[in-house]
Amino acid sequence: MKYQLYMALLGLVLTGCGVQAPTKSDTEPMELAAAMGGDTLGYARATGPQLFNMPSDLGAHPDFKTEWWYFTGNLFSDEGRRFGYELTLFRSALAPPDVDDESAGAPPDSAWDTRQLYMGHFSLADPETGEFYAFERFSRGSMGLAGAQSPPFRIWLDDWNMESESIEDLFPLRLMAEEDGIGIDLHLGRAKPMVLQGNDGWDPKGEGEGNASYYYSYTRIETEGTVSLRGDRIEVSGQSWKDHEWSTSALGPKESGWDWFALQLSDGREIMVYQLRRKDGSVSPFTSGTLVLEDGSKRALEADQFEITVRDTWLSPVSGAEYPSGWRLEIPSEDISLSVTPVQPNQELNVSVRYWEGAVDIGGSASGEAITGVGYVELTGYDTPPTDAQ
Amino acid sequence: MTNLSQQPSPSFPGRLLRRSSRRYLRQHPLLILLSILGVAVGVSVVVGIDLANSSARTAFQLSTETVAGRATHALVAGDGPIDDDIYQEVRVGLGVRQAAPILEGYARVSDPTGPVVQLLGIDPLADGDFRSFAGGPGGGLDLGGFMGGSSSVLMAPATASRFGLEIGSSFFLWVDGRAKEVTLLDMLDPSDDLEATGLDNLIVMDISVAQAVMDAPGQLSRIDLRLPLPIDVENMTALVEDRLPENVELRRAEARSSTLDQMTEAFSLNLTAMSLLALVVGMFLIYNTMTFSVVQRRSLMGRLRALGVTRREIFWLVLSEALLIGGIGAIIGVLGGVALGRVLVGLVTQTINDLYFVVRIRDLDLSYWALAKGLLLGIGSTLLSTIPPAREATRAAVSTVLRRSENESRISAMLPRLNWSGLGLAVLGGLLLWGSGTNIAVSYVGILAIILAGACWTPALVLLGSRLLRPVLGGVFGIIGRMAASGIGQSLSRSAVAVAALTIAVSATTGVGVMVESFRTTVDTWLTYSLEADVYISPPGTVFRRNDSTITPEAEAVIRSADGVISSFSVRTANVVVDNEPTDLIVTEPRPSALEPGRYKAIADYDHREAMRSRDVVMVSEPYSYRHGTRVGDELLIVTANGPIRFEVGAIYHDYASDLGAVQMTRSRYDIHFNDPFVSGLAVYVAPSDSVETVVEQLREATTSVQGLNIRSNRDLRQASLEVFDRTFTVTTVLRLLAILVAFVGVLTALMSLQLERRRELAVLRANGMTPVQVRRTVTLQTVSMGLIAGILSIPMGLVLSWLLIFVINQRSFGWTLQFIIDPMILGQAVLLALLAALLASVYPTWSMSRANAADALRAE
Amino acid sequence: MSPLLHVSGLRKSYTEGDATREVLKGISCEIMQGELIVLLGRSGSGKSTFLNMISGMDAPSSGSIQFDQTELTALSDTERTLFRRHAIGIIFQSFNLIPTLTVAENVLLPIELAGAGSKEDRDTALKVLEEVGLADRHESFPDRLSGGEQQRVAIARALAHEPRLILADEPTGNLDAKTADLVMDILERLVHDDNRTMLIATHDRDIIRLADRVFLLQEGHLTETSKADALARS
Repeated sequence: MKYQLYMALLGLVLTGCGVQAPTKSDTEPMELAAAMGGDTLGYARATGPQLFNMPSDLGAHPDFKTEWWYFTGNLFSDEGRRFGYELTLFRSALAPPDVDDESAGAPPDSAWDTRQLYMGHFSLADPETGEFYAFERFSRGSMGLAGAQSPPFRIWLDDWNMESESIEDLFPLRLMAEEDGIGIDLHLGRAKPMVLQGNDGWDPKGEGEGNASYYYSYTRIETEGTVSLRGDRIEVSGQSWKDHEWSTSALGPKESGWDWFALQLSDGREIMVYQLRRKDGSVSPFTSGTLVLEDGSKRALEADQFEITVRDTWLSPVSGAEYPSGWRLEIPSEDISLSVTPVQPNQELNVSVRYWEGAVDIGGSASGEAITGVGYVELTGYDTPPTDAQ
Repeated sequence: MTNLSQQPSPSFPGRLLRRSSRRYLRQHPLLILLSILGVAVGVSVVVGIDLANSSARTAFQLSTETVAGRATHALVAGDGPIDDDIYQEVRVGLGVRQAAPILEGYARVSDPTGPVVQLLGIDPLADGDFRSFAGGPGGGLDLGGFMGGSSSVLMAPATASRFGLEIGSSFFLWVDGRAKEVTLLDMLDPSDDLEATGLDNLIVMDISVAQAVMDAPGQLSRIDLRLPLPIDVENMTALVEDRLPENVELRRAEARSSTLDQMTEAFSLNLTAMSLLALVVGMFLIYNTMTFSVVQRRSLMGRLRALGVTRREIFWLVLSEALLIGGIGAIIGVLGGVALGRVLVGLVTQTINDLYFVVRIRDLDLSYWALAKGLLLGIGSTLLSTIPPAREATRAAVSTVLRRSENESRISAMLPRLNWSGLGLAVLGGLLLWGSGTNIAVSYVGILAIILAGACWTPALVLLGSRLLRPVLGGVFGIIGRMAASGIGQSLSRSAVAVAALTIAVSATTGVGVMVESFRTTVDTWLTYSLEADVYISPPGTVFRRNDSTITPEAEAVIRSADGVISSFSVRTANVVVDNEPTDLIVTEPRPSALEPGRYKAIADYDHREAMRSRDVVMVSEPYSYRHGTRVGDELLIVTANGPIRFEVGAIYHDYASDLGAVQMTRSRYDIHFNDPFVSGLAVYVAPSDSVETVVEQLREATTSVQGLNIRSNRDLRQASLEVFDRTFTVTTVLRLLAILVAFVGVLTALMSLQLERRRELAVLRANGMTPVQVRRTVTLQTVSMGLIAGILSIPMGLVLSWLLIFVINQRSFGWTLQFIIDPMILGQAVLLALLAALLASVYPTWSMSRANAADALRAE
Repeated sequence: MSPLLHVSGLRKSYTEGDATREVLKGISCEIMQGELIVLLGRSGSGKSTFLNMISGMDAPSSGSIQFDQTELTALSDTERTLFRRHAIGIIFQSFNLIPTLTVAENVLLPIELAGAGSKEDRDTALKVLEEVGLADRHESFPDRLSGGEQQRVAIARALAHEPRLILADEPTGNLDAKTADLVMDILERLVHDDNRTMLIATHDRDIIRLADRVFLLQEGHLTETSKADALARS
């Protein structure tokens, strides 16, 4: 459920930052609602469930306005050092597909010509030092500078790369990203089966025809590789999570943000839940979740089936935003009671739109048994600029 | 009175002394005004040229810097544009983040002859770290419209309003005679005035749009890099060496502007030297005025000395008078210089545009440094030229009676010393010219020494002249004629200065005139034998003498197969790296001409024309050979598409098209080594039975629908070339005229002071019965005689100067061998000019002399 | 009482081409404070040269000129100039007024050169002009004055900064008898009423009569002579 974040980011790029590609210091994050929007006219819409055509649906769907490929994971070294990583590449169409003829597009005689914009986020949490590294990139989707293809599966932006090592299958897959001496080079091997989110992979996001996305996940993928930390190369292994979602949607600016949880439990199950927060403080009815069983089958979780309580908060020294930093998640129908704790408080990404995306530890009980786990949590809309912002 | 020696020795004259000095100046308003005018014009010329030069330089630097942004380095290809796949390799393959693709070029707005603008193609997503002017954070640039939509461009508001464009307006950009329609998407957002100037006439667009507009698919001009640390540079250098093709090289960002700076260095320096000449003539003027004022007041100075005024006070008194004149003159001069600069900057940038590169900014840059320099130069040169008269003033005998003959006998006594000084200066000048190697500035100092040598010899020559004239004038005009002639010799200290000033000014114009005429004749001859085809076709370029635009293959095919065309050959001008320096490469197809011996400066002992077709042999132009010391048989390392390759130099050919130097290669070798099928120009031969004009018309008709081309007959092209030549010398001509103006003012003051000084003498003559008419005739005869002497003296002096300009300055600045052509007309003009100046200068003194009341003049002071 | 001026062994020679001409051949004399000395001598006998030596306008070839405590021959040209501007007042035969300064300014010039020039000094200048009877002409330029008037301005100028020694070179030489009398009156008043020290080169019998002592310069030698002898000679 990273939908709105990405819409917001892309909206920002399209309307706000312009040529001054947003980089760490010189761009003030914009208000979420102001950054949202964009014309959906002329794009393909997610109007209903559709049979996914693998492996080609692993790649890009350029007629849809927005699309992303999302990987997170918790990694451990033999010495017990741990890391959390996020690598997300997403695509946004700058203009709808040519509806009439050639003349509607740019002059045809340049290989640089493109309607596709790519953005990348890469972050690494290092709880041992408390350091959190976050990077952002943009590129055009032409000239081989950034793109998405399948088969063979490859999504890339400059030298950030998600590339399948097999022709037909998604896994094994290699993730590579490096910037300023911080890097990952990971092999994602055996994975639990693909989970189709929502209604067979069609996930309504709000009122109205087509305000939905196509969305599937791989909730647990064996991962090993190296983490580079300013010259140190550390062998690591652990578990990753992959999301792939595409859509063309217009959103009302009612929501102020959301809290999204992707939890991998020690008993072989995974939980994905999210709650949408509205500006009036209430929780949106589109709040929901999924429980994935050990065999890969799933059980939908409705809003009234779970409860999230904040146990702690953290004040970002950079943005001044106060984020929840520790939760209790109760799913009474499944007899699950979990405490979710960030591996370190500071996992805030200071990029075009500030948000918190961090590795978490899980403790608690399921059906009376003690249970542990790791996961990732995403928090948006806590960094609301003063209301007098233009 | 016991401690006299401990009294402070005052340097600056007191109030009354200053008052006395001011009253003196006020009594001679015309003389002072002319002196001020002389300084003012001299300073104006220097400031004007300086401003024009520095404006052109600043404009170019500013536009280069604006475009270069924060790039520290760039990747370029030695053999021309860089392949855009390299960019992908750099960014995706090598993972270099701080890289941005750039495609630059020039276009004309709205129609094929419209104003020139610079095109800058960027990737907005890679560009943020390099250039900030294309909309800041929240600047609201519609990225979708910019790179994802139609052919959108950005420009500064000032540029848009000049072209009458608004956001949303569509207009045509003409490149090489082809038009592309683009839309003004948004305005660039300059952050300050400087950036606003830097963005003038710049059109920014996405790389995809730029490639389409410039018809340059797959090409980039360069890849900008930001390598802030030495280690970054080191790493990048290694990557370029190991991972990128051989023709790609890493260059520092400044290298670009400095290369172009070097291109115009000689041109600017020569203009500056010419402008200083006007100031030198102005200095003579000040010297003359101050000397006159000192001589006239010698008795007064003597009295002051008797009253206890120290030598030093006298010295400073004279100097402060000069300072007043120089200061006022310099201030007026600086103001005039700004006005002149406005005119000259247009001429200078026009010349640079004709010869070297496009300067898209044509504003006058009012550099305060240039103004201050002008002020200091004006005042400084005034003071410098006042030191001799000021020292003379301190030597005024502490006495009671004025005896002018004292001074005259002194200059007569000094004649041998002056002659020896002249010889010394001439030898010094010769040594400087001989020993300065290629240094143009030192060469000019050498020329200045020779000019001064001429000035030193002038008194002796004036004396000689007056003696020779005495019997002649005596024979014609009787006693009056003899008096006029010997008057010149008797007042040698005055007349020699006047003659020297006039001689220098006139000989300078003669020298420059002969140089330009020789140059023009040489170029004309060269054009005659180099333009051997009947019709020349080229796309409309932006720089006349360095046209590297391309003819479309369709247009080429149409022309080559047109009716009436019996044969044709192509020319390609490309910019490649030769011996690590960007160099113009001229690629020619073999043409059916005979070997013209006059075309080559040096040739190899084998048939170089055959060798150039069969082996890696090239020719270099004379300026190239001069700039790089290249000789026949040397090897040049030329970066080709296949990496650097050694080429042997088979000949050095005469070429007056460009002072930058060029390398010439045959098309067959070029096709082997470069991936560039295009041609920049075509020359065709017309069947003898057809009229050239008709074929030109037919070709125009046949190509209009394909590409807008310049199609010119041999005669028209020659005409156009000579027009450009003349245009490039417009500045020189303006300077020449201004130097004459200063000289004229100088002569006027010199003659006026001379005659004013002789007031008493003439009054005695009047008292003894000479009529006003006779007085007038004496004065006129005398000044005209001086003009004649100056005119005659200026001929050898002018020839020496022109010889030096042609064989030293031109050779050293541009590497050209010119024929030395002496047009008797120019020499005749010189004498006439001197006579005319003298005649005009005699009008006022004559009038005032003849009217002077003899009694008044005789009255004891 | 020590002499104001003590000259001893003063020699001056000029070189003209190859020849050397000695004008002063060892002159010695003393002048006391308040004396009026008349210097007689034929034209070309070296009177002006002698005056130039004393005023410091020219330096002797050898010998000593002691003015009060100062040895002039030991001074540089600049120092002599400074000495002159403070200590000496000069009256020339041909007046030598500065044409570009008014009468008052001409008188004020030596005062200003001596380092003053205030309002009081202007008053002094006007007072001196009054003494020579030209107060009403102080705004005029010299070329508007008659010869006698010019000479009176010159005298005023020589007095204005109260020099300790006044040198005069034929002060009445260019004047008619009547005007000369007027000038004489002024000089007499100066010497006898104001107790000035004065050295006058002249042939004017009227001046000789006023003199305390008479020096005779002959063929480069200076001798003192009686007034009677002097009157007989002139």
